[in-house]
Amino acid sequence: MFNYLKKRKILEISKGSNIILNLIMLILSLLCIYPMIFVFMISISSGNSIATEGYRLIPSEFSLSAYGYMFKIGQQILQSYGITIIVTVVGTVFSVLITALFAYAISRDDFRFRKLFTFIIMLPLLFSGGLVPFYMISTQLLHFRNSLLGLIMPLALNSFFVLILRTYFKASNIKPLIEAAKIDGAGEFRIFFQIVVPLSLPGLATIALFTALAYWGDWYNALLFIDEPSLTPIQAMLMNIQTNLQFIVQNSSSMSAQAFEILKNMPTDSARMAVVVLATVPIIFAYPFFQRYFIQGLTVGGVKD
Amino acid sequence: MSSKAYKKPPFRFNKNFAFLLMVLPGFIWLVLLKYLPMCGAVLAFKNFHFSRGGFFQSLWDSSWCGFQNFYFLFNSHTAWVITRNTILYNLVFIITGTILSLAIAVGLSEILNKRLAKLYQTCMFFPYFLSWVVVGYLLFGFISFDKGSINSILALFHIPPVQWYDDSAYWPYILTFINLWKNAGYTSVIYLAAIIGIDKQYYEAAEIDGASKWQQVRFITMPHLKGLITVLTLLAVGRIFAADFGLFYQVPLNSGALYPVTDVIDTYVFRGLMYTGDIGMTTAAGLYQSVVGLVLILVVNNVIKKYDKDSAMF
Amino acid sequence: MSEIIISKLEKVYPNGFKAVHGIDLKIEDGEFMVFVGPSGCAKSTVLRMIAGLEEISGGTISIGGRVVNDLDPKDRKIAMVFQNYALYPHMTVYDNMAFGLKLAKVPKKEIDQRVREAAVKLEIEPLLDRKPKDMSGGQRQRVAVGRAIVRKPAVFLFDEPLSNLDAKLRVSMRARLVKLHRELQKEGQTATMVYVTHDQVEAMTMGDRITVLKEGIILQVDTPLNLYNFPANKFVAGFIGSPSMNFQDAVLEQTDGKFSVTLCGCKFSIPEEKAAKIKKNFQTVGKETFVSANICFGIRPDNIEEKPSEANKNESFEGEITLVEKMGNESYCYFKVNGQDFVSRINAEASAHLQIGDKQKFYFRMDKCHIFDAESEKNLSL
Repeated sequence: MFNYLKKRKILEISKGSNIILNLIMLILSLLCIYPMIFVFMISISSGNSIATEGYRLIPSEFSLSAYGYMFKIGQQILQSYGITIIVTVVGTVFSVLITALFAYAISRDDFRFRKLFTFIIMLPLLFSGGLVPFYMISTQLLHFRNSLLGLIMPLALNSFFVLILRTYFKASNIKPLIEAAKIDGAGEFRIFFQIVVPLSLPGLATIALFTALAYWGDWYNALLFIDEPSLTPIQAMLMNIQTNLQFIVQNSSSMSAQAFEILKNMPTDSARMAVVVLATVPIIFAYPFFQRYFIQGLTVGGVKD
Repeated sequence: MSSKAYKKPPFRFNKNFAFLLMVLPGFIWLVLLKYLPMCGAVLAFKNFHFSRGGFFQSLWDSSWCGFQNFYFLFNSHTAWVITRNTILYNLVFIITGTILSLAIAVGLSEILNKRLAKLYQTCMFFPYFLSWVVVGYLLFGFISFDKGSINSILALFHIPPVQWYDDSAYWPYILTFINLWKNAGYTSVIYLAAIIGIDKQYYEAAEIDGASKWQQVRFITMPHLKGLITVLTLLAVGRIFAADFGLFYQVPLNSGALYPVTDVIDTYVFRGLMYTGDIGMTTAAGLYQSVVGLVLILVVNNVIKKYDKDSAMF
Repeated sequence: MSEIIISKLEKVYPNGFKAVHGIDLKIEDGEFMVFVGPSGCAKSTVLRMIAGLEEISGGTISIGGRVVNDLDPKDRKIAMVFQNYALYPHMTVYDNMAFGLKLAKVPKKEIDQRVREAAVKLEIEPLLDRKPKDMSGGQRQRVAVGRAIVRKPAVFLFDEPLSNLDAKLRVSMRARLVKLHRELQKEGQTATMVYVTHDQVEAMTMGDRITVLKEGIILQVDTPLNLYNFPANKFVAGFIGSPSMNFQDAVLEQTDGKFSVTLCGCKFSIPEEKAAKIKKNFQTVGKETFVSANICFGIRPDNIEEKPSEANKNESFEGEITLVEKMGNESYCYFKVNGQDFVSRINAEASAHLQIGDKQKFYFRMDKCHIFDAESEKNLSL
């Protein structure tokens, strides 16, 4: 047995080492996904079992009442979902558009002001005015407070993504195609939209993915700018119900008597966790699909966050 | 080859006009959301008082006070605490993060069953995509005082339950662990890609020479990764003055009792802006962070340039 | 209406490097002109300046009488075939060919007609619905040519279009392009073609005239045969023809009014006509009289023979054979004389018995030799 464990083929580790390694990786992997599973189990635990035993992986009593309540008073949740979806979709499209245009222009050698604008996009990576001036300008000048602008704009342009796309455009062998198109009589914008974009879909898709995920998980801008419940995106809503589950109830039902009843019977703990699950479910479902592109994007493009 | 002076070609208007249009949206965005705030940093040098005419009028009316805000800032005990916290945490994060993600990357590259390795990688990459708010909840499931599973387990061993969110002693460890949990998988993807790129022939030659697997890792894998490790580490060092706001704000659930160990420059500035209202000093703190960060990055970039010219940012 | 006049053309790069040194050239209406030269001679640069893809630093280019320096490529009435074809990968062959016409707002019917006509000419009709990645290199090249044809330009520009094809394909495409040129001329469509290549075989077989460039300067412009028989300088002489001309440093002497050349210790006399030309040309390189002069002696391998004849008048020396390359119908015979290497072309039968190490007499056709001035490399014997 010992010999079997010790043997190894050329370039491979021994079977024994392999087993140990697998064990370690298995533990680490479980560590990474366990908390999410745990939270899900809490969300389907009955209020009673939580009160008596605390949070358990396998509760003594199951209950879907938390989700049931979500359905009943789910208006706030739906609204938050809606806001998040709108912000993510609109934001991603807008962001990819202006990012790609900027990156393309500075990737072209015959742009007279290429160096200037490359500098302009890089400087903010090195230095910023800090949170306070940003906040003041956003609220006083740009009216971001309680507006979708405040959720979309701050994330709309990321210097890293611009530079990544610029490298991508430069590396893809489009120069001859641009020349052929010029001879064919195409103007610069037409060249961009009809020739360059269709051929750059992988790069654009990767950036779009990174961007969409940033929008979906953003709570910071809502924290800064939003206090109107109807404009609160999911992650920010999660923050609000940390200590105040009433937030959901009060903003969903209109009658105070009804609210009181619901609150009295609210399965607080499991409900909280149910909201967490609901906020993360899209990520979980999409994850197996997009994680592959993420890995490609990270490695091929040499992305350094 | 002659050295005739190069004359710039005539300005091609149509083409450059199109390019200018292309950068226009981004340019406006940059001016409004990046460059204007840079100018707004003058707030740090003013004694800001709200006057009747709204914010910009107030800004105009407020008097200059030189470095007074900075003086106040550095004289307060808080400045020391937040700076220390920021730097120490980042230092620990860099060291632990690099070691762990390297170990994971090497481990994954050696596992015999590649499909299993992919599965592990998928699992370990997952936490990166959860927002800090969600992570805060996940943690809560474990360390909630009355219902968290950790306290339940402790009870089994007759150990009294711990008020996790009030006791600051544990938090350096908790935060380090959480940071690793969320980011190690992501960083290991980058290292793993580099490892896969190493030419197999090096290892074959080593096998013939009789090197053990460990020795191969030490003498082939690590040297090949040295460049990447250096660049990533130095980049992180350049950002050592900036903390991940989400980690320090959301995960401790913004508990005041923990501030001595969880407050970093970013959280301090945030609270100063939203609650305290001492605009001048808060801006000073933010400016202090930006300037030091800039200096650090420039220094680090020069260091990288000496080491590996192509990896430098500029 | 589609002649090209290049006048004092210059190209300077931002780092100060001067790539083109003020060249003048007239390309006739309907001519097939080949630019040939070694890497870095700026032949592609000149072509791209004609196309409008490179900025002109000095001088003018005019097409059909119009100065085009400040015109966009699309306004110059040109079409270009790129080395890497530059086909739009995401469009079908049809769309690739129709793209430029669509932009020029040509009516749909006419686009269709022109595309199909060109497709027939190039035998790519069955490929019209395919995308470039589903085609071979040769097919892609034909599509690229088709894209140029449909535009009915005044000038066709070719930038080393065949260098990515395998040898056999290159030969057939060469013939196809020449045929195309003739067809277009017959149809009455102006077909001025400027063709850039580094391959002198392509140049010789395709061009009406050839422009030889080196380091941004034009060395000679003439028909292929003239370049072969009357090269103006040593570089052109060595560049055209394969295997290339034999060069040997030698001494030119005059005794009793007769010229002779001494190389490798042997003396060869120069026929009268050539001597007269040499005398005349010597004055142009600033040498009035001479007793003896250092020159470079050049003779093509095909003008070295293995037996005496009327033509070579017994001018010979003995050499030791170092290598015989048997090509089938002829052989390249490499030999050494006093340590200097030469190569000659001998027909297969005569060379059948030759072995390495054999001592053999080689005869020069002195009426076909070339004498180049040692410093200026100018051909003195024309």
